[in-house]
Amino acid sequence: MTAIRRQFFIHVIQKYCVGIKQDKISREFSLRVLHIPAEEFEIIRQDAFSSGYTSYSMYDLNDFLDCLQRRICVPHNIFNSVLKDADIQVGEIITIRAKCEEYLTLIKMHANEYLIADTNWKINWKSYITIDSEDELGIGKTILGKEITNFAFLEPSRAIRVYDELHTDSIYAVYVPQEIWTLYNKAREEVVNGLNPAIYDELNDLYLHAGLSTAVLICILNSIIRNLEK
Amino acid sequence: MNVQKIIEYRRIEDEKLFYIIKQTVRRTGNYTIVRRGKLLGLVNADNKEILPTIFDDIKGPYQNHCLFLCVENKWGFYNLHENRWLLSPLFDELYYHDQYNTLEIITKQKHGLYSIRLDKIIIQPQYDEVCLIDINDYIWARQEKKIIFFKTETGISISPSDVEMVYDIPHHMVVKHYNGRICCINEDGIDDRLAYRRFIIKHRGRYKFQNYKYQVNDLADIYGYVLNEELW
Repeated sequence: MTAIRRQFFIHVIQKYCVGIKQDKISREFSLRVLHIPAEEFEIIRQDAFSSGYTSYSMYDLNDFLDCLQRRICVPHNIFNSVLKDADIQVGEIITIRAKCEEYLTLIKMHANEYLIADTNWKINWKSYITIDSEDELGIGKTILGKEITNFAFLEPSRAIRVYDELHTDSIYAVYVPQEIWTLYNKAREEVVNGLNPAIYDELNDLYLHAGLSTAVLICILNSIIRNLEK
Repeated sequence: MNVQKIIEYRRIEDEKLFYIIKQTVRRTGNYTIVRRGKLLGLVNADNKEILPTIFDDIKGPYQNHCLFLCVENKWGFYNLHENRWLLSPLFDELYYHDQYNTLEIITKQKHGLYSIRLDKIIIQPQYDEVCLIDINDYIWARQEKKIIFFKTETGISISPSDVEMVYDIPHHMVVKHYNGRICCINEDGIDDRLAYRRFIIKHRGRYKFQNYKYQVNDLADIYGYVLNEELW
């Protein structure tokens, strides 16, 4: 059944997902899913049935498309643990919460170096922070002078994993890189130039072949946009 | 009558039949399996008796000096160099896993594991299936759907829950849960995500988890996802 479901969702991606696009108003990047007219749902249903996915429901499709476009990452908790820099892999996204709904999302770029992907903390704006090897991350610990009330990794959602798998056969065959600043700079260059919208799919290929998920690229692109707007 | 008494009785009877010449059954390495009546024994190249003709069946040698010997449908494992039983003939079946140098022991359809390296039974024959290797810090057995780990050094058992697959890893207990996620288990039988994370980072973000018994190879990432499997 899983193979049939997967086959069906691959079909949906191929037909309705047009790749990484930037929203003209919010300037945010995401995987853009085409608007599906009501009459096409019946065609999709028939596709699902013909591919053997007979337990298909509209909820499955909505959930999948929602994950693909909006919920590219899901939380992954390391319960009751205190982590150090060495416990975080390059390319991983972490989200830290402090009191008063304050949040800080970081991407590990290199040993001890973290890109600020998103935050509402009132900090002197800079694009990255360093976390020393001996610094501890976990609930009750402090970062940038604030007490951490919640800490989680953000892992690529299953929909994104299917998307990644569909667009490269090598993401899992390569080791995770030791640093991704070079890839970041490449993405930044393209965002600053902002000339060719198709470049983001090429960037995606570059990231996937380096062993990084599309979710990481989208987070980096959005971080670049936020940095440029500061 | 227990096996030791049968062996002793047969040995006495064999000595009484010294006048009957032993017939060659087959040559095996430096030894020759011989027959006297219905029973088998072993002589060396000089025709000197190594084992009396008291066994129902002889298989081997393994590693040139170990034999499976059968007495009254019970199998044992005998070391010719040390001239002693490594395993007394108490088992319904024995399987030698030459790749791992271990013996799977079976009694009343229950499996256990004997380590030749450690010269002891490291898993008693009480389980439906057992792992094949003895070099890891933790070994495992399966009883119906339940997986039980044993600390090789001490024999302490650890019973994690919700386990679909178990892997043979040198220094960790690693399982795949029914939700498809791979994780390390601590000695309380509880998931240890931090230990798993450190293990994966040490191996640069990907690791191929293997189970030699089931011949499973699962490539996993830092979140415990099996990457060479259907994702949805």
